[in-house]
Amino acid sequence: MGPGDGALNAPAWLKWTWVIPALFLSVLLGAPITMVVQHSLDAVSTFEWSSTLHIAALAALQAFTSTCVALAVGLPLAGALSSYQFRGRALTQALVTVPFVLPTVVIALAFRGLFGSLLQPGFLLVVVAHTYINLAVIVRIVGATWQQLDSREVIAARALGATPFRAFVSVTLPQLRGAILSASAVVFVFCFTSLGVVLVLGDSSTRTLESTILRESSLLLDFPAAALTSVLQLFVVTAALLIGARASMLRTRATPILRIARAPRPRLPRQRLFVYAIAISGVAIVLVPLASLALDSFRGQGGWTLQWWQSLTSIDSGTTRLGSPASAIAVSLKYALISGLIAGLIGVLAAMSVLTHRLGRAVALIALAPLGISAATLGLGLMLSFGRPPIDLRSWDLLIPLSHSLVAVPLVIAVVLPTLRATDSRAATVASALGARPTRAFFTAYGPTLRIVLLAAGGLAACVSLGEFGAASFLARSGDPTVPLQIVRLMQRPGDASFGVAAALAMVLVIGTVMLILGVDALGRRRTAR
Amino acid sequence: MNSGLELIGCSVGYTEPLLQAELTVPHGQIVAILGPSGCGKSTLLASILGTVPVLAGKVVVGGIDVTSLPIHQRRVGMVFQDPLLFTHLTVAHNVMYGLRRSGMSKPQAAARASELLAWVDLQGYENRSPLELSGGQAQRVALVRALAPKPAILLLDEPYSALDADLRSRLAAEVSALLREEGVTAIHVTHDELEAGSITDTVVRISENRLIS
Repeated sequence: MGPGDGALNAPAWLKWTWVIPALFLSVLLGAPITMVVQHSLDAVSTFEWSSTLHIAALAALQAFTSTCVALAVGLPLAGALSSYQFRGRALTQALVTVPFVLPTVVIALAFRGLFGSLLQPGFLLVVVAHTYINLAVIVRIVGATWQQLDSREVIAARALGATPFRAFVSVTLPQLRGAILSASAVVFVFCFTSLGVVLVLGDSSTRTLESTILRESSLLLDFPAAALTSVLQLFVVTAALLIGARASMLRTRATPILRIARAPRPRLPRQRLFVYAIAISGVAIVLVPLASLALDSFRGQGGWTLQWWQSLTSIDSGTTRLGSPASAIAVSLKYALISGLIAGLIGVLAAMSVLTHRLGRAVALIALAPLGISAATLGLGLMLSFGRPPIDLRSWDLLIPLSHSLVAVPLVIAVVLPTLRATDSRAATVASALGARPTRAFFTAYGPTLRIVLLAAGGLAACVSLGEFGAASFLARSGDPTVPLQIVRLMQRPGDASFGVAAALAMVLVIGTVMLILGVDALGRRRTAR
Repeated sequence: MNSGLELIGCSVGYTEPLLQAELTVPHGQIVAILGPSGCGKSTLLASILGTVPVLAGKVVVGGIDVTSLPIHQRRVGMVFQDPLLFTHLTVAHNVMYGLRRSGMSKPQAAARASELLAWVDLQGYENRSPLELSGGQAQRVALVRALAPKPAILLLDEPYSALDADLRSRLAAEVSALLREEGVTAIHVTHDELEAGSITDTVVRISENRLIS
């Protein structure tokens, strides 16, 4: 699909693929952001600057601490996984990624169950949960650079008299600086804009601007104040992401072009002890909260029980008079299906347009914006634009899937674009030379890949939708909560029964998410095998 | 004698002229084009095929000016260095692809595909996936797939360079014999002088950005 290959015979419609994503983004991203900025201007004179800035400072402190702890735990793990070949390395790497793909409210619930009797909700619990979720970001981003480093440089430093620690600090660490800064910026933004974790595990010391926006718009119904808080948050997030982007350029310059030697096996007893201790700790850190959650879903006051699972279908166990906790599963599945279809289609069209038209690149760049715009800002903007008469998409059950699609489209583009780039465009030329008309030639070359990436992208978007909490908390009608919303509402009610039912519901979400991820992974492997 | 291919005052390149070409290939002849890497051999083939526009001049294939025609109307077959078989189709369906586009019914196309596969010693491979073939087998399927719709000219862009030396010389000789048997006009681009001399009728060289027969 390169501009040169087969350009004379490319189907004419291909150069218009940017139009639908552009329309989608200008309506669903442009209108809400305009609305938020417009509303924020109304609040400038009456806004409580000191209390909001105090919350921003608290959130920054929490995010900074979470980032530092995530680095302290994640760097040794990234080092062990990148510097040595050992049995179970791939499995450890895959397991470390799991917390990042699980819904945040599920993780929050797991930590509440695990540490509930030891730690009161508050700063420490929020930092621990954020560390858990963001371990994958540190391991993946820093590990990717670490893997590229030439281990012989450390050997050279050791030969010149450096201790292992000195060699790490003077040789390895400077080369990882860009990757560490880049990963830190991502983790900081995630923790600064945290909502689900803060609501379930936090107290007044862990409020974020995100939870403030939710409070101002849902409880106080002060939309201008919520909008101004959103704009304030947007500034902080943009600044952090710009620092991250600059650091990422630093990383590109520092990364050597090729790795000279394959990572060695740990040979010395000391090395083996280090590698296996770190890897086993990493696996334990990931699995213990999930195992605890699974056990909580079967544990009652009198011992083991199926009561919480059976209660999933009981209206009395729900948080609305209209449906049982299980009815939230149907709501989430419906939204996941619609989001999968919309985000899959928009993401694939946007990825195709990057390769076929100059404007497509601009569209794809704009599509990445939801990565930097918090879920609350998005939810608030969508509610102000399309959640009230005269345009009330909430009554059509469309607003939540549309918000989920916006969140998922950047991930879909990130998955689809490299796959399309890797497809040999000469296959379309061959098909044309055999007499196929442009559209048929295009689908002969790209059809099989597109079918698979569309399914995989849709699955990924559905996965995002299943676990999304922030935007849904603004847009859901009280009688139709999604599963993450239902879990948070159950957690806000007192009593063991609500916790048990929430744990069972969270396990349903874990199983659904893991099955979807495995499905997407299997599709990816099928594509690679072609 | 009919002309298989005529390049009349052709200026070839993506934006700037890379090569000036003036060439006449009589029908049924196999011509080798030799030249160092980067001299524009593949760009020339792309211009004949239609993936790169000619900046000036005319491309005439089988007596028809195809300069402004899209690829699928040019009747130009192409075999690349890689077989580029459609991996989601069976071997037979790959060969049938061009036949079906030319309007042949499915049973007729299937029968013709079987004949062509037998012609290159691949009978019995009809229902296999291209992923099950060796490099040499896949390149033979690519060749009969390109020949199946009876193109006016066949372009071969270093089609054996991905194969090992033994297989390369054997396959080159076999293909050359097949092309002569069918009377196909072909342009064979290579940088291997020995291969060019042994399997083609004429050798044309590119020097100082010019190709003149």
